[in-house]
Amino acid sequence: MSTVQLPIERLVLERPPHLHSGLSPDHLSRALLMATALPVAAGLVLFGKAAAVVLFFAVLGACLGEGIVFFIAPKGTRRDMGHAVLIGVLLGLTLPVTITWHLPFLGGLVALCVGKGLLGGFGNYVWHPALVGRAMLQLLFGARLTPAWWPVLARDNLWSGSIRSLADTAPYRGYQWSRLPAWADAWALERPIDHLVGCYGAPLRDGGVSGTGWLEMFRDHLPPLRDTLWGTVGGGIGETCTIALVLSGLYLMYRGLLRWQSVAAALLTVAVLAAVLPIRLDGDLAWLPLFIAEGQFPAGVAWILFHLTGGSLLLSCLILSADPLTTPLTARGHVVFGIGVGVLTMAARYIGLTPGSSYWAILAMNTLVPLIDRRTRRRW
Amino acid sequence: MRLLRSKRLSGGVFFTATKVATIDVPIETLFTRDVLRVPLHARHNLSNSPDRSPETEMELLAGAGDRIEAGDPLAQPPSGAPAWARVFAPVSGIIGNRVTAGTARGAAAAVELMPSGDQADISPSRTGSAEPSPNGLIDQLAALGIGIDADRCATDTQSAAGRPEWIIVDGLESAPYATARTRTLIEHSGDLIDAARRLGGALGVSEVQFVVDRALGALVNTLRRHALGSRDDGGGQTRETTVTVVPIPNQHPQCHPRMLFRTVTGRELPPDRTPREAGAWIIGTCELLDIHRALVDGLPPVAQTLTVAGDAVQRLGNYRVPVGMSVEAILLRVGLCRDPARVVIGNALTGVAIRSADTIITPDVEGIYVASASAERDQTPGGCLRCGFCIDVCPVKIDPVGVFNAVELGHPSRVPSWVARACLHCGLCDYVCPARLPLMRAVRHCRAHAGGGQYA
Repeated sequence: MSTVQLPIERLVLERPPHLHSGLSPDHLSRALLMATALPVAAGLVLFGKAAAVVLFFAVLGACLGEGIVFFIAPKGTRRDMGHAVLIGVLLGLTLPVTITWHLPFLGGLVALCVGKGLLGGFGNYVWHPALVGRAMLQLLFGARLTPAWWPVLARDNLWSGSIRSLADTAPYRGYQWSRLPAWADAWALERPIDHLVGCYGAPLRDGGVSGTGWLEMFRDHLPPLRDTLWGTVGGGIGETCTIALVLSGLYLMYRGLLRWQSVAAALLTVAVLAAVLPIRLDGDLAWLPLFIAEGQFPAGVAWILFHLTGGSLLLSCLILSADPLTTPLTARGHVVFGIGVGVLTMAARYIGLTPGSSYWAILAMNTLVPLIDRRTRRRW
Repeated sequence: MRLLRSKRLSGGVFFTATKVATIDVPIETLFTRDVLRVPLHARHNLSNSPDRSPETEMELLAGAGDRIEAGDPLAQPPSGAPAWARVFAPVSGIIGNRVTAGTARGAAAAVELMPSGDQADISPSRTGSAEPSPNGLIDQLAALGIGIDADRCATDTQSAAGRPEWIIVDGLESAPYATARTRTLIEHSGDLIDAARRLGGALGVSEVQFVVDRALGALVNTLRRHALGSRDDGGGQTRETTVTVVPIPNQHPQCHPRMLFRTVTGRELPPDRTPREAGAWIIGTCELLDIHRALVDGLPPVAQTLTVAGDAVQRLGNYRVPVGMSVEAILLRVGLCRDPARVVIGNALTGVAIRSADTIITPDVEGIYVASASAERDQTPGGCLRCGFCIDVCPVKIDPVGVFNAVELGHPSRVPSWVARACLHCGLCDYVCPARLPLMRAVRHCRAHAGGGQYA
C-alpha cells in the first residue's frame, strides 16, 4: 500500500475550470510558422540561394525591429522573437527574388517597428505587420517590387542555380517542354496574372492592349496551368507554388487557425467576378468570359483559374488571412472578410490600381475588421 | 433553413484521449477499515432546492454504540418534513456520533460508522422492502432511498409524481477522464436495458431513449441486441415499452442534461426551464443500476461508482466505494505516484477543488481528479488573440470574449441576462483560450450582477 500523504497545505484551491488545453500564443505563432515551411521550401527550390538571402534578411530585419521595440517599449512588454521570425518570413514570401538584400531588411524593420510596435504591439495592431512592411516597400521602391521579368530556375538547376543568368525565349511552351539555352540557369517569365489582366482584363484603364488574340495568348504567352500548380511561373517567393500553399492552408485549417469559410468566400468571389466581369475582346467588351471558348479549348475556364492561381491571391487568403489578430472573430465575419478580399482584389486587378492587389485588399479589409465584428458577432 | 439545422451539439471538445487509461479497466470495489462518515442528507441537490434546507434534522434509527448491518436503514426523515430519502448503512459496523463532515458542496451532517470485520462486498446482507408497494414503482424506489430526478442526484419524490414525456438514460459522459457510467454500461448492459424498460413501463412512457457514445460501436451493438431481446420476452404492462439505443457523438458537454434534452428531443429549452420541467427525466446509468438492484434484489444504494484519474494517481480506474468514505482513504488505496497539487471532486473540468482530504464521498460524486504540480499550467492571462476559439467551442452559442470585454470595461449590466442564464458553466471557453483569459468567471460575474440566481 502506498504511504503517500496529501500535502494539504500545498493544495491548489482555485475555482474551476481545473484543466487547460495548454494552448498559448506561442502555439499559434509556431503553427503559422510551420505552415510557412512548405512555401518557403518551394521558394528555395524554385529560386535558389537568392530566395534564402531575401528570407534571411527579412527575418533579420524583423528580429532587429522586435529588439528595438522591446528596448523602447515600457517594462513588462513580452519579447516574442517567434512572432518576429514569423512576420519576417511572411514578408519575405511576398517579395520578388530579384530585389537586393537591403529591401527585405528594411521591410522587416518597418514591419516590426511600425506595423507591430507603433500600433500597440502584439494583440493590438490593426493591419498585418508583414503587409505593412510590404506596403511601405512598395510605396518607396515600387518598381523593384514589380519587375517586368521574374526568374524561375530551370529544371536541371533547381535549388542550386543562379537567377542572374536569365534566358527569355518566346514563344514559351511551358516549363517542361521549353528548351533553355545552355548558358542560362533560369527562365525569365512574366507573372501570368499581370500578362492576362494587362491584355484583356482591364476595360477601365487605358492602353495595355496587346496584338495577340485570345487563343494565342493562352497558347504562346501564358504557361500551362500545371505550371501554376507546381509554381514554375513568375511571381514572389511564396506566391507561385499552389500545391505548397494549399497544403499549408489545409494544415492551418486543421490547427483551427484558418477558417474554410474565409478561403471559400474569397476564392468563390474572385471566381464569380472573373466569370462575369467583361473582358476586352477584339475591341469591344465581352461579358461572361466564362462561356467564351476557342474551338475545343475552354478559354473562359482557364481565364478563371489563372485569376485564382496566377497571382498573389492564394498566399493572401490561405496564409496571410490566417493571422487571428487582424481577421474577424466569427465564421460569419470571415465570410464577409473573404468576400471583401475577393472584391477588392478583382477591383484592383481590373482598375489597375496597383500590383500585388490582394495584399492591398487584405490591408483594406484589416481596417474594416472592427466594423465587420460589430455587425457579425453573435447576438451577444 | 430552421428545419435543416441539426440539433446536435455544435462546438464542444472531445476528451476521448483522457479516457483511454480507465475505460478498459473493470470496476473495482474499495473497502476501508477506517471510520465512515455517512452523510445524512444523501442524494440531495442543495444548489437547486433552496426550500429543502440541509438543517432538517434526520432521525437516527439506532443510537451510538449500536451495531447495524449493511443495508439496514440508518436514519429517516422526521414525519412531516420534506421528502428526504431514508439513509442506509453502507457497511456493517458500530454506529458512532453525529458529526459534521466536509463534502464537495460544503459541510453536511453525517453519522460515524465504524466498519467491523472483513467486508466481503458492499452488498447489504439483508434486503429492504422489495415487495411492490400499492403506489407503484416510484414509491417502491423511494422506500429504498432512491428518488429519480432530472438532475440525476436529487431525491425529490414529491415532484417525481408527475408523468414524464421522455425518459433519457444517459450512458454518455463527455467530461474529461470520466468513464464510470460507460464502465457500468459495459459491465451491466443487460440489467440496465431491463431496468430502463421496467421504469418506462411503470411511468407510462412508451419509448425510453438510451443514449450512448457513438464511438463505442461494440457497446452500441450489445445494447441494441439486449433492447430487442427485452422487448420480445417482456410481460405485463411493460410489453409496450421499447428501449431505443441512441448513439450520438460524445463531445463535452453533451452529457449535460440541457444538451441531452436538446439533442434527443429536438426541442429548444428556454434557459429558465429545467429538462425536468419540460417533461424529460434524465437518469445516469449508475443510478439506473441502483434502480435495477432495488427493483430486482431489493437492495438500497449504498455505494457510489466513481472514476479516479489524473497524472498523480497510480492505479487509475473506476472504483465502487461506500458512501461516506473519505477522499484520503480512497487515494491511499489507489496510490499516488506524485505529490498531488490539486484534488478535484466531480468533473475534472468544473468540479470542486477540495481543501481537505477529509472530504467524504456523497452519492452525487462522479469522480476524483488528482493532478500533480507538473500538470499545472501558468494561468496568467495575456491579451486576447482574437482567435475566436471560445466562440467556436461554446455549446450554447454565446460570445464569451464579448462578455469578458464588457466586464473588463465595467459594463456587466450591458450583457443581456439570458446570456448569463444560458451559460452551462462547462468551462470550455477557459479550456481552449490560448491567452488564458478568465472567461467563465466573467460570465459568472454577469450572472451575479444581474441577480440571475445563485451559482455554485
